[in-house]
Amino acid sequence: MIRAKLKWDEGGNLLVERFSPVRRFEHWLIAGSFILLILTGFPQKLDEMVVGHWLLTAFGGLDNARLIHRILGIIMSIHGVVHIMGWVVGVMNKKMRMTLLPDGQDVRDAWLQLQYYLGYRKHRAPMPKFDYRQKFEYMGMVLGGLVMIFSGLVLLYPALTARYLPGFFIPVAKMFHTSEAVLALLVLLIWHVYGSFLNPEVFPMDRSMFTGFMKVSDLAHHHEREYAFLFPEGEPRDASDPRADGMVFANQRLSDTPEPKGGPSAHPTAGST
Amino acid sequence: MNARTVILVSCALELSGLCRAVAQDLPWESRTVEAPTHQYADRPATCAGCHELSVGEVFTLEDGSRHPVFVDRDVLADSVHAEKLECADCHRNKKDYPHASISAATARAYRIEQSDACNQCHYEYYDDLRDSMHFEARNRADPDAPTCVDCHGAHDVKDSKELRLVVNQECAKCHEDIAKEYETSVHGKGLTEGLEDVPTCTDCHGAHAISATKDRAFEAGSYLVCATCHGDDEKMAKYDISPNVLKTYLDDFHGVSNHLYVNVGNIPEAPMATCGDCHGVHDVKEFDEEAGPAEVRKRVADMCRECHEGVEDTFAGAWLGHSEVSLGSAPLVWLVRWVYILAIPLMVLGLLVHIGLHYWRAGIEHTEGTGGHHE
Repeated sequence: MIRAKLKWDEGGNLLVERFSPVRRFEHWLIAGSFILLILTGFPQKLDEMVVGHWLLTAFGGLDNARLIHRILGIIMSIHGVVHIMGWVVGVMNKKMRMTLLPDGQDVRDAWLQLQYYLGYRKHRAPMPKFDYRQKFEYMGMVLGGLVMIFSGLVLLYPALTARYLPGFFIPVAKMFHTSEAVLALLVLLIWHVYGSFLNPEVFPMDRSMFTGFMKVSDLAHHHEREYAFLFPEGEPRDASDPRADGMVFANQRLSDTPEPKGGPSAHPTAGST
Repeated sequence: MNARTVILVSCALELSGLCRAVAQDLPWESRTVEAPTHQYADRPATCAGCHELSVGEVFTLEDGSRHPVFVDRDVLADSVHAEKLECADCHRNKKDYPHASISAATARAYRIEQSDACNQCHYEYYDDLRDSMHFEARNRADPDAPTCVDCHGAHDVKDSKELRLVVNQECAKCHEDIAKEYETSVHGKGLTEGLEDVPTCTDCHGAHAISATKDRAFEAGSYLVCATCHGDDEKMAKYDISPNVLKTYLDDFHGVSNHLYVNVGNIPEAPMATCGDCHGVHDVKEFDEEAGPAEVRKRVADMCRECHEGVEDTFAGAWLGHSEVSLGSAPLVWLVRWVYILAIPLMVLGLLVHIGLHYWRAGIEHTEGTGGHHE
């Protein structure tokens, strides 16, 4: 099993892959669909909003906006199914670590983090590859997505729904769909902007979703448990280093680039688990 | 020449002893013509001089139809124009005597030919009329296209405020089937009973700018026609009708859709249910209090099937009726709504508190230089 993909940047920093090209494609697919779904969906919910009327005009009228909304919804739904099938296949082949699946440790991490914020602990809890905040957002997307998919399908096929379920499931689905949309939009606006931009740890912006990689030094600082998992013996100096066992290198370190600044010993919290 | 000038001129004429006094009479007696040479030469030389004689004089049109020239003095006196207009104000080509001959082949053609007489004074209504489907019919050279006088009357033209109650009869002259349907409706019965608030034809269709109703854009906006009264809480309270009908319709998918079609200004690809689709239009019925819930559901399902072909009766359950969502009326919808009403602010608050705490801690560490996050 490949443990990680590494490469060096021009400054000689060792980088570790955080999002594979497939994951980045998924992210931008979801991001694009999400934005367009918001822009075509909210004018229907907030039908008194004049800006919404402009948006609908821009999309070529209500019927067109609905068509776009439905196509994107179906694309997102298919993606959701493929994504979850990816879990199943990945876990069965033992090729995937469920690094985004919350567990009991995340609850403890959140509790420790709260204590740290309030000044009862000196240091943050060491975090895994994706910390509890990131897992929260991901799971919100998955669970919220499922609510949107199923309620959306009911609204897209009301007659079919009424063949198997009582008719009131249709207004219930509508209530779920519009309410969950508000929740999803607010959580995303607040939490994603915080997590990827305004969080002091990443400010002004976490670029890993563009580049796919993050600095190993950042990993050591903010995802200490993942650092310890990947580099229990320290960072490899090059591909021939025995510490590079299970690593794939996207490039070779240029001989004239400086040594990476600091090793694991420079980070007091690194490797503490 | 307007009526006042006519009167002044007439008075001058009277002072000169050439003519009868007119000030207390109808303007139609004011215009003098050259002394007629025919058998009525002894009559006063005014319009009334000849035309108030009920002696069976007729003129014959090209199609052979014969029309009396008699004009009833009392009818004229009753009209809203009685003190205001003289004959030639409308009959402009009859100013002189002998009168110019009539070129129209039929009485109808003559009326249409003369129909722009009113817009000399009432141009704004004529302008509205030009937007109407009646005017479109006129442009198609439809001889039945109504002119002003078809609805308002000619010599007997009435005050339009009085017209409201009889206007249905005017419309019924052409739209007979619809008028009969209307009479059976809750609105029609109300009108018969003398209820002042029930809509007559023109309340819904407008009087002059009557739009075509088979139009999708009109259908989409037709709920607004009903809303003028059914969205008026005071008026509805008078008749013990639920004031929620408009709001609940606008909360529903169909209502939202039509509201947006109207406001965005686009034409729906498919018709979207509006008030009339369930309640009827001209034959709008009162909600049947006697019908049990099962019967009502069945009827609603039948309405649904008008558009949603072949849906099950259960489909009707999707329509929550015109009552607000409550624990009693739609428990599951109510529950989901409240879960989110509580969850959304709690969630937002929780996230903001987390972010706030993070900044607070980061601020302290920045000040103390202990930086837990950054070197």
